[in-house]
Amino acid sequence: MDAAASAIGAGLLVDRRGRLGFRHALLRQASYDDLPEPRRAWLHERIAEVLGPERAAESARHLRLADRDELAVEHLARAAATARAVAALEEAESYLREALEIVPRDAPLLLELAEVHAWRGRPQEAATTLQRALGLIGADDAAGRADAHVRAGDWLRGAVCDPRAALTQYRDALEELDRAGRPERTRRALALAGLAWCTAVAGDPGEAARLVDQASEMAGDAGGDELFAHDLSSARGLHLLRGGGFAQSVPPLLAAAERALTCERPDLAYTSWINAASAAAAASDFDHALAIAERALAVMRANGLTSLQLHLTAARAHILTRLGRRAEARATVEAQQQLADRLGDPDVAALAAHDFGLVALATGDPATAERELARALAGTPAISRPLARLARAEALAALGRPADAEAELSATVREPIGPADLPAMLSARFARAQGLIAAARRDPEQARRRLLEAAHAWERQAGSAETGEAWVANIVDLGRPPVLGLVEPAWELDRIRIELAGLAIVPG
Amino acid sequence: MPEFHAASTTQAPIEELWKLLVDPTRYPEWWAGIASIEQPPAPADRFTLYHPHEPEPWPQQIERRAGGQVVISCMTSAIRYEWQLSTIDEETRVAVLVEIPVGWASHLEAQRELIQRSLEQLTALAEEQP
Repeated sequence: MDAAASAIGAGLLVDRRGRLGFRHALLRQASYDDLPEPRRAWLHERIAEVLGPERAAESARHLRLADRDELAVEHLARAAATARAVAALEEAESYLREALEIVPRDAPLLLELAEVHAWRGRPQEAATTLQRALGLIGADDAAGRADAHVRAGDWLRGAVCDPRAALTQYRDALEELDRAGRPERTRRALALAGLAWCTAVAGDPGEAARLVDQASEMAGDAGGDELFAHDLSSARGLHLLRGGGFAQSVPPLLAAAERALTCERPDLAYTSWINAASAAAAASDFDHALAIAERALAVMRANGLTSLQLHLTAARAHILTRLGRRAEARATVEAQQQLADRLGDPDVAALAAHDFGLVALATGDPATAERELARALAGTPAISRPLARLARAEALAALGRPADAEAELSATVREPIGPADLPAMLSARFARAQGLIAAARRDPEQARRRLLEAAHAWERQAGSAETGEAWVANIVDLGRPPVLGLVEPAWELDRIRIELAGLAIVPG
Repeated sequence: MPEFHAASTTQAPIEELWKLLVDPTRYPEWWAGIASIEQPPAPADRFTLYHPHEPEPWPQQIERRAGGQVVISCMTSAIRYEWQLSTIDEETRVAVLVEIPVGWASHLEAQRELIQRSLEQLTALAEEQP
């Protein structure tokens, strides 16, 4: 205290509201530089001790300045975990990278970094970092390797939304345990639960039910694990959804989401929520679908999960269009564009353009629709290109550009078609687009013939059990449930009947 | 492996042929030898066809639909049908390559006749479209 008072009196230090500081930054730097190096290092280390783990980032900095990098690593890892807990993913990545500069061959840190990449919407970097981690985990460490695979499976089906890739990871986890001849019931149960989830989405439905039962039997200590309970509840919900039981699937999916939140896995909660919202919409309960989407959005926002916010925003926009709340739908999809800008990925920007285009079309703005869908088709987003072309054709017809609309139909024929493109419904949609083009050419007789062709095609599809399978095809092939592409044959038929009624047929 | 090609041209626009090829529910209308089809709760690239007067199901796999091409293989016989649409001088050309496993070689001539009839029915149906 006497020394401090003396320094204040000499003008070296100042007292700013009870806090001592150097009068000038240059004075501080000079004093710091004057310290003998051993003394300086000792002081930094003592400061780190005082700051402790609660202020991990600052402790790490002081330890590094004390040339105690080996002690800083633990603090950097803790700082990264703290940053993740408050959704500061960029900071979390920065701390982990710094830690890995010190210990580049630390597999647990690499796994953490891989997961942060996944949460930041960078699946390729996540995959590369995962491989680095696996390369460092010994071949005889079956438990370690299995844990790495399970963890990768969790973020692949959560943050990255790639159930096929996740399925591979869970299978790898089980193979590691089989190869080592280790029962490891708890680890197996967790891998089986994840595998059941992925199989419910991307594999054989009967197999999914069997895996759920197998995981339940093997639960043991895992039975009390919230993540395990989430996986089983979610797998049950997806199994129902896939069989077309949309309304029945909502309760287990919502239960799964809450369990995922309990174990601080908002990315897994997202998956259950968006499927629940889509299922509620498919069951025509759009108010409930909207409530689910909004709850999920609030959580993703709070956790800084921008890429997942993007998909939920699209879902919200579509639900609002189905509720007839057009202005809100438009505002929502514009907010999605801003999220896409933040992510700065051209494929994400193209995806947002696609979603914007579809909502614009549904809300009576064909000019925006054709422009945005053209942007989407110029890129390589994970969308249904045939369906995007048909939507653009519809927009062009509405703008009185039938020749351009026909060009889109010709381009549709050349596009590859996969399960997510709902091939059984393509000819119905195609025929409707032809009808709208004929109407744009002021040929009501041709328009009527085409619209009737479309109506007959939809009638053939009514009650189709493919609806559930088309659902999971969207998740597997496009990485998102088909909120924007719900198959509603009855609604399509009603729309066509209205369009037929609106044709001006001149008696011949 | 025994195989054969067949082709036909039509004035019908390529889009009309395409709609008939990508939608298995339309196959009974033009594909000779197919009485009915089912699309059970299976992936969208599978369907089952039934021949006239035969109760046995014949599951099929749609291997590819892209660039005006549809490739279908029978999961029982492994007979493979590669349909290809193209536009030549303002006409639409429909071509098909049929590959028959050696074990089913005795079906070659019957398949040739069925496919020839199917081509005629396909193009006629496309020409009838609005």
